Amino acid sequence: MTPLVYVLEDQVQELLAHTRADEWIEGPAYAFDDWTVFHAYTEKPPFAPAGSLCRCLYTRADAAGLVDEEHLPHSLDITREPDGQPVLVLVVSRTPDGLPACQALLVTASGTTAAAAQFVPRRSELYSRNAGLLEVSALGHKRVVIVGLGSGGSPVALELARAGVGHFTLIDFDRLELGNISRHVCGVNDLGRYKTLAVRDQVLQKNPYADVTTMELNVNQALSQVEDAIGASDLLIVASDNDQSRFNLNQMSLNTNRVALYGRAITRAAGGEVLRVRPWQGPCYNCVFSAGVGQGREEEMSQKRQALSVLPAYVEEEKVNAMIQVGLSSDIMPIANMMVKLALVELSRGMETGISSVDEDLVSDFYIWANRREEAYANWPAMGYKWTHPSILRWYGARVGRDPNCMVCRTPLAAHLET
Amino acid sequence: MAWTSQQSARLRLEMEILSRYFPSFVLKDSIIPGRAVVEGAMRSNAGHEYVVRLRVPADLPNSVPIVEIVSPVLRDRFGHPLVDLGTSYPMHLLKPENDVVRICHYSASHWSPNITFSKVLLKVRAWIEAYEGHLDSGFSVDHYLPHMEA
Amino acid sequence: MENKDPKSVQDHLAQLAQGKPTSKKLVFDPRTQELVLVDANAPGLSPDTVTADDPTRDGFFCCRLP
Repeated sequence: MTPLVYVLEDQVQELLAHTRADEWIEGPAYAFDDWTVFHAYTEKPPFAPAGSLCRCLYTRADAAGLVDEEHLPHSLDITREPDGQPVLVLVVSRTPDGLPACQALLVTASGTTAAAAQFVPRRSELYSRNAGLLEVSALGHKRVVIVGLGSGGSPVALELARAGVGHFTLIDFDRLELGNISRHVCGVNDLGRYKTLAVRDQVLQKNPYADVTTMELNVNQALSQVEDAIGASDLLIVASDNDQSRFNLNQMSLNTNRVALYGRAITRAAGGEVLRVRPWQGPCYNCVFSAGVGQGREEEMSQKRQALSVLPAYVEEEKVNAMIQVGLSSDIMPIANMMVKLALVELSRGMETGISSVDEDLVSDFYIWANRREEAYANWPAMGYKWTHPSILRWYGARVGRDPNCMVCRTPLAAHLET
Repeated sequence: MAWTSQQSARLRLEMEILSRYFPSFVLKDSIIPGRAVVEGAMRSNAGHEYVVRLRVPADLPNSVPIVEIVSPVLRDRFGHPLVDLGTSYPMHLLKPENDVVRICHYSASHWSPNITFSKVLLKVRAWIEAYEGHLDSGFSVDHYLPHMEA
Repeated sequence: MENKDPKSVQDHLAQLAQGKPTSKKLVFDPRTQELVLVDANAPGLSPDTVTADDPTRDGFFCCRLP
């Protein structure tokens, strides 16, 4: 097959605009699949790249004229390359109508072969297939804060990147452990890394132009920093694994008047819940969960740290480990997906989009999902063919209102904002 | 870092409630979040006095406050200091710090911002009565006070 | 009929802890700081009266604090 080279169109445009005629620019390239596929950059990509590092040189054809392919191996001193590895040469130019063009050559000691160059489209074109359904340019300016980048938060981040959301703040202090891998969007090559940075790389793979800020901190110990980030965002997504952080984030969402979405799975991901908090208009997190709504649907314990924070201190380590009962990734995904739906509805509110009608359906602020008839859903009837009774694998919107006795959202600040 | 306006309002509310039910309790070092404590005396039905300290969490009201019995030095029925027990299931104690007994009153998973200091101190008041029951009968505190479900 | 006797109060707590039914309520008297046993259906028991029964029934817990 003809070797294939992918180049970022924006980087080539930049190079054409700012490079002298006689200049050779060196940038990193990464080779895949036995040196048949290459990803080339003019500067180190913002995410951790995969593949084998390969030397890559750029030059401008309009200045250099025809490239002397025969003498390239000599002029590039190709014999210095280890193990006879090729050097990738990209000759960039403009077409008569001003569009960028790129000719790719693979140079080895034995000669030069042509490769096919393909542009990774410009920022404005990356999500063109979404057009008509979502106002991409608007989502590109939207800012989302995601707290908790585990099995729930990481797919939400990725889906929002796929939908064209342009600005992310990812908050988590955990690192990716072996036990996380089976349910996480990141894999073994990210083991030991902060989940924030590993997920950032995944987001940038979907949208290289996304602006991703990461905060490797415990929200319970960095209240003002996190609140500042939420205040600068359009939407808060909470996929953390403990009530303390959710109560703190609830207060921050009220303080900053930012809509927040909370998702959690119950034990072994037998089911889960998604709560949308519209500050001062609907129930807050405390209105719902201090009223005992979560009783009987205990949160899934997926990590030792999480279990240790709520299990009695006298419980032996062996038993703590036994309490860690996780569900399958496929059981978490519906919850993450519902959060994404609600997030897109909230982010595109006020715009006429293809998903506007979904807003009419998602009138509830609290949604319940069951994966299996066990735990809290043990008494539910089998799904069968009826759809008039509660069943697994369907969403249920529950009618929940503000708690007039809520110690969080009935404060004087609420009265102030309402008037 | 300073208290937010909501936290300041909540602290005022907490102290207002305490002034009704536990009037001896006062707020100390209230300026700096994380250092503020509410401290006062409780008297058991038998007339013994205990100084109780509640550490106001920096993220008030979103996490469980630490509650300590500052004085007297608590001992079990056999005269051993309670702090030597460390974390104790039967006595409802957390791991002590600075040689002061810590009462385990709420679990993090049962905590809610709706729980006031007054309710926490009411539980501690019951703990004191149960502790004196232990001194008289030899039963551990959990004979009198049940365990919260995990 | 009020009862402030420590032994009676402790017995009441033990009954609650064991989930046994009781005809008394444990009321906290803020003036004296005492825990007082009253009849559960005593006419003088105002709805605002702080009882020590409910938080006691919630149970105690020794989880690790962060």
